[in-house]
Amino acid sequence: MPQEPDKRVKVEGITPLDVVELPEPLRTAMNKLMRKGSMTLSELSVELNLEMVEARQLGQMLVEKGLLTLVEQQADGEILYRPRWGHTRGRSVPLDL
Amino acid sequence: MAKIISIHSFRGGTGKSNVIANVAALQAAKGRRIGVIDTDIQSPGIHVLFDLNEEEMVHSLNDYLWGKCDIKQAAYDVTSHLGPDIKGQVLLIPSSIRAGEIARVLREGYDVGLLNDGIHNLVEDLKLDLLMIDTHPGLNEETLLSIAISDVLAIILRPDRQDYQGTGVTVEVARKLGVPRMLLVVNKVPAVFDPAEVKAQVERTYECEVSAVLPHSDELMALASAGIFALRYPYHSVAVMLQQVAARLVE
Repeated sequence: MPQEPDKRVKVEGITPLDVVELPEPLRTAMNKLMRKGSMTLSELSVELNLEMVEARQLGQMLVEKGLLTLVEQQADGEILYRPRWGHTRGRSVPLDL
Repeated sequence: MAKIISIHSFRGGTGKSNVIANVAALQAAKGRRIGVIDTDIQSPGIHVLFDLNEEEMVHSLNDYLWGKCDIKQAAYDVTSHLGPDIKGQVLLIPSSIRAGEIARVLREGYDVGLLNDGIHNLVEDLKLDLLMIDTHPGLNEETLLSIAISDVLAIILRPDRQDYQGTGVTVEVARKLGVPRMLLVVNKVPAVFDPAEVKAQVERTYECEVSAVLPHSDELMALASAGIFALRYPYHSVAVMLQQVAARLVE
């Protein structure tokens, strides 16, 4: 599981369209992150059924790939992840509308 | 009670905005504080049902997405437009109806995180009991975001083969986005159809609850978006069904 995101190209943030295309169980985790707004390392570990060390490696990888942002180290040292939202793609529209 | 409800249809003309406006008004009539956000940036229209004129729109969702205003500044209290018997409130966040502003947001795109924050901030800052999201037909980023963060998704469809196919796509995407609760509303059903049969067939096809089968109504068509049907004709059979939809959505 942690190997798969490593193959993904780096993106400047994520949009829901990207989430739909993610493989499981990454998609479920991102869905929950979008709905909750943030997730601790422990929650990510439970959600993906990974050991804490593996979850931390995966989280770090997703941060490096531009899907998540690590927002703060909470008082108890717990790591908190948030989706790193991207920008929708603009498209060509006649300027003289 | 659900906090965020998205109403969507894969194709245009299903009566989506009409259903939203009616449900919002009926919930407000019960004393609830309802927000309605028009994320149909490409073809906004729900403001017409709430009788909000373009001249009254100092700010819109577009301005918020461009960082010109706070999301609260784009919220308009349209309760007084609904009539005297509304105990609660309806606050509408319209999208701009100006062609240049529609073109700009399509051309430049926008920050998805800003829209996400705006939707969540609306619920908190305006102390809403319920926020209803009017989406653009089909699938685009606003729609997917709405689905991704909603507690409930209602999909409106007509008994039409194109609608059936498109609804299948929406249901599949909604399941991928893990929406907690999904309902279908079949609208504009011709009188020659058996509503029970339509309900059974749609539920079987999508393995999803159909909360109402609304018949085609000449009276609703004749109103032509010049008001809220369920408030104007509260004893009409369609109005009674809309009350059932409103109740089912917020359960």
